[in-house]
Amino acid sequence: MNHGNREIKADEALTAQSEPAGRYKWVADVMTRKTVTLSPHHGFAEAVSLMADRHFRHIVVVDTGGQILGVISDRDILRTLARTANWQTKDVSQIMTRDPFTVRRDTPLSVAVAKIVSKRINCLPVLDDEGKVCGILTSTDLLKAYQKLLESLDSNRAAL
Amino acid sequence: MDIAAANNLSTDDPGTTFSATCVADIMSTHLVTLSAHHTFGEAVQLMTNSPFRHFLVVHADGRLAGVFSDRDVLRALGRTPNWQAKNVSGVMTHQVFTVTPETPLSVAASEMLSRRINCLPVIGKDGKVCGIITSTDLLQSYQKIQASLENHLGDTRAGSV
Repeated sequence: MNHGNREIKADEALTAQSEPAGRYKWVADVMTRKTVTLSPHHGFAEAVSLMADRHFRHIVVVDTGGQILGVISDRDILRTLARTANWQTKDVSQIMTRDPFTVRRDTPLSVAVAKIVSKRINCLPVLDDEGKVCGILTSTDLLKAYQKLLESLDSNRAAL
Repeated sequence: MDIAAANNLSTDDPGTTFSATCVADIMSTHLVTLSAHHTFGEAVQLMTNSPFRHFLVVHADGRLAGVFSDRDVLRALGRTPNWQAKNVSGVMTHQVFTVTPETPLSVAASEMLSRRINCLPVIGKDGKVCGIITSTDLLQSYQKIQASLENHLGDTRAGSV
């Protein structure tokens, strides 16, 4: 996707579906592989319009080498709009959450869920072995996994 | 066998996992509510000073008027030139999908996902608001059962691989 003259990678959610819900064990089993990224020098207004036009709520901020610098959530945007008089002049690096909590592809799902709930966050960038962003795990991904599990449990109960 | 294992967790491992099945099992009954005539500024102030992202807007008789969420605030700030002049009823979501305490959790979760919302007001038999179920409530419930499932999967894979 081309946004202005700078490249912004944006894509529809693409979630792994290889395992039945009762078999999901690792972050890699349910994470969203395509992420929306911006670089730190993008303007705040670009982050706002990206999010207002589409359905995702999190943008990962990376450097040119793919190393994670921060995350911008819809919550960060709300806070900035409410508290910052000259928000038009801010750039992404000034409003992002720096050094966000992250997980690895092979982090157990229960650990990732506990992190999201206890830290009151809605997304965890997923890092590969080189520390590069390879996906994002959102509360929506987790809710989908739970919903599938609940349906399996319901039908299993009905069959008893 | 994994689903069967999940169903049997409470009997296999006494005291470890209670598998929640309906809204009443995990809903919150402690509610922070707003009135429709609160100003937009008051509501935003309440939200930024609160851990909650959703506020039920309730009529004086206890019936639901709407839901005021952080998403509504974002939308209003982005699209409404005179947002300072609005009150809660001018910004809140009026057509709200609700559940009852007896609604299965699988239905609550799928409604949240398909409607792209994070909270469902719970309405009792008397037609009044009796609780709220949020995506966080669901994730807490998921965390418990998932942790137990992982233990079972770990045993299974260690034995078979």
